[in-house]
Amino acid sequence: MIVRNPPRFADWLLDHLGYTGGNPALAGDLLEEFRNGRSRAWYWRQTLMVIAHGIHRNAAASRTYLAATLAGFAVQVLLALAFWSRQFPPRLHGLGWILVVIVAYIAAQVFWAEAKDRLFGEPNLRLLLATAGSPHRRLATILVSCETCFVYLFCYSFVAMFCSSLPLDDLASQECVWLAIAALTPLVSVPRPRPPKPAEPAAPAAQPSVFEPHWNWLCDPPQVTLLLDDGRAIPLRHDCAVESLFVSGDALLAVFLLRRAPTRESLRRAIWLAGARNHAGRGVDPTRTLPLADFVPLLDAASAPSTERFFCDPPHQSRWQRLTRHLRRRAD
Amino acid sequence: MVLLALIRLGDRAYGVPISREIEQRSGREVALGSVYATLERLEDKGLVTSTLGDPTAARGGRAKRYFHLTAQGLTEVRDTQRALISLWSGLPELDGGAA
Repeated sequence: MIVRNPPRFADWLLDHLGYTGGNPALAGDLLEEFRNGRSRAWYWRQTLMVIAHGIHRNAAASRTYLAATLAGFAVQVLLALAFWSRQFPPRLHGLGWILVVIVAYIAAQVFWAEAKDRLFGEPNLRLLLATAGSPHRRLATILVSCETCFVYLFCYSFVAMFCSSLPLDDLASQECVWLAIAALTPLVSVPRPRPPKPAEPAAPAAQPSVFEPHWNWLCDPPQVTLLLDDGRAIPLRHDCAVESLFVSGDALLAVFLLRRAPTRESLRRAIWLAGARNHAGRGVDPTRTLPLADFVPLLDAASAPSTERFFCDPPHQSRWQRLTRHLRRRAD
Repeated sequence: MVLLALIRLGDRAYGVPISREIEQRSGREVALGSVYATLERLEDKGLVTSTLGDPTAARGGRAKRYFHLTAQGLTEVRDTQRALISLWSGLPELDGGAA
């Protein structure tokens, strides 16, 4: 069977403007309808409608941010005009200076992001301003204005330092372009919340009763459905764990797991254990979702001596079949 | 329309069947984005609740978001129905079929 894939650029737009991350169910619905036979034109229409609705919603949610951005931009225009009339900053020559200025700018941005993180616990000021009842709203509003002023004043300075001449009408044109960028960016894109820090691994709970004989769970191979913090659920099977994990859409899960540096084998074992626990210990529903935090103790349990015997040689024999036979013998 | 579609679909109401239901009844293409925007507004007002369902491969591993009508939502639909019936009645221009 050939699986149809939606237009890549439409998907890229939804993903990079934040709509897919913000509403995974909507992205799933679009994909399901497309694979049910809808046309590429339909997918594009739906994508554009999603973005149009997003702009409407962003405009309502980002009023304070937009006002702060425009205020900062207005101050920047005045400063840029004042600098321009005094031919400041002076012209610089050579690639070395360009590199120095770019490195200084990146360093300033890194420092600024760290400062915001320490001040507010959230480097995304737009997200902070959109959060109702945030205690830092006033300070964040001022900082957004300053940030906008700084960024676009830097852009002006960069052009002034390295362009041979900057007539007033060119300056006006470039300010108009930057204003469009400053105003449209928060309207078009959805701010992405920072992925939550992974919880400290809890002490391993009592060993789940994985190996109780339970005929229902012998019918299916082990699997687990992990529930991510953004609401997406990812089904994993132990026999294709690694392959299904590391696609671009599963970056959040990949980052979470890689921080714990599991080996490929321990990852497979943890999935195996989770699937078996779903069937045997907790009952019945093999598709039950498992929060990421609950998956961590299973990674530890996967290398525990008590479960080792079910993962040992002979390698050619399926663990699942081996256990099935074991349990059938007990049942007989 | 969205609330009526939710009542018709019952427990299997998520984005795709809701938009299809509205498309079939109204004869117009419906944007999934606008269906979600409406549902989220209704959820903010407490007329609708949502729960995450099972992911499927056809959806790229993404879960379905099922929407359910609340008691308040049902009351709202009934009130709207009464108001519409009251508005429709007693209009001689609408009686008797073809214009």
